[in-house]
Amino acid sequence: MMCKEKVIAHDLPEALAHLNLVKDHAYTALTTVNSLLQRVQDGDLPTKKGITILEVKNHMLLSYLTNLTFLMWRKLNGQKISGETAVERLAEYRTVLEKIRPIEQKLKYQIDKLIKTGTIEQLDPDDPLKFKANPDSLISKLAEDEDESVSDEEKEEKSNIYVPPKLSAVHYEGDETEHDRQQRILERARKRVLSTSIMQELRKEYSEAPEEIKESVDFQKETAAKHIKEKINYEEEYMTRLTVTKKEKNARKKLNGMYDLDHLTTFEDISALDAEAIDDLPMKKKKKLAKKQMKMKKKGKKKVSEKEDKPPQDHLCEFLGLFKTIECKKKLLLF
Amino acid sequence: MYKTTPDVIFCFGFHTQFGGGKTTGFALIYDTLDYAKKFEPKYRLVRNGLAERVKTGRKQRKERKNRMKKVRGTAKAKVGAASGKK
Repeated sequence: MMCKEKVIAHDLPEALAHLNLVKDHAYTALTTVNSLLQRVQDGDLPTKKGITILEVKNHMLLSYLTNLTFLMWRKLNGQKISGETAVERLAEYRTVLEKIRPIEQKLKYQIDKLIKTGTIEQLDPDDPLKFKANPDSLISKLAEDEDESVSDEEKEEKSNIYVPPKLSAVHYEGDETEHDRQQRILERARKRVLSTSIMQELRKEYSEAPEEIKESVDFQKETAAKHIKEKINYEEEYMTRLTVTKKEKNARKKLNGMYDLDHLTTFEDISALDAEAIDDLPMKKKKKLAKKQMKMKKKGKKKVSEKEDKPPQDHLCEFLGLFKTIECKKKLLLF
Repeated sequence: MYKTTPDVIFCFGFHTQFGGGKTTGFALIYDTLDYAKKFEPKYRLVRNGLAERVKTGRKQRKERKNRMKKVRGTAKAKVGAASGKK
């Protein structure tokens, strides 16, 4: 009994303060509710044309509050509340309110827009917060306005140009500029020239490394010899004779027989080393002829001999080039 | 080297080197003549004289074959021979 009184004495001032608060709050709540009620009765808050789900929510909340106050009154009077139908009703209202919440979330945008239109009268069609599509701001394909006719004509002209359909895949050369391509071709030509017999003899002459005596330096010959060796091995292993194609026959003749005079007397063209542009590079005779033939075919004229077409400058260059090569070959021929 | 009679030796596939003076080829030596007759191709046997070459021409053989195609069964042999003699 003593401890109980102690507890009561301890809590008493707090309890009194709380009770006073409750009294004040209740008074203010009563005044606001009365004013609201008055307004509703006067018809200041019509909800006929409003969003129905919100009205449902309002009614739910009201019912919830009334039931809750009833239960509180019962408790205050010292009566039991277990088994009361009010509790079941409360549970029902609570569940409904919980279910309404996600639906309200979905309607949030609509509600906000409605509130906005209620407060602000003007509607800007290009409002970025407006999520509705604005079909008027689309550029119409069938524009018939006279103001836009000029620009439309220009557009039509552009589209009238025939663009061929891209059917086959082509090697991508986009990243390589014209300059790069020319450089690449020049490099290749120079490389080819450096591997000719003239350059190799020069290298041998001026290099201080010991001289190597190999059977042949010609790569083509080496590969051909390798191929032939492989063939002989196969034949001996399987005791059969393989057929010799015409190509192979000629190649064999070339290897074993004597070369023709041109191979000994004509020197390779090393003008590619001095070439600055692709035009300076010497093209193969066959290609030159073919190009000219094609041109003549297109024009329908008779074939013109290539000697006439060469300008005198080229002849001079050739002669000078030949001089150079002769100087190099002199020593070899003497040997 | 092998101490055999020359009739079991079969040589073929001769290639003369460029310029002459050297020729390379293959040779097969069998244990017995029976083995040789069994394994060697016809043309090599003919070359060594162990088999006879077929006298009928290629064209005649093909024509006979085509005639035999038209008939079924044992009549084939009769037809082929009879028509051939015509």
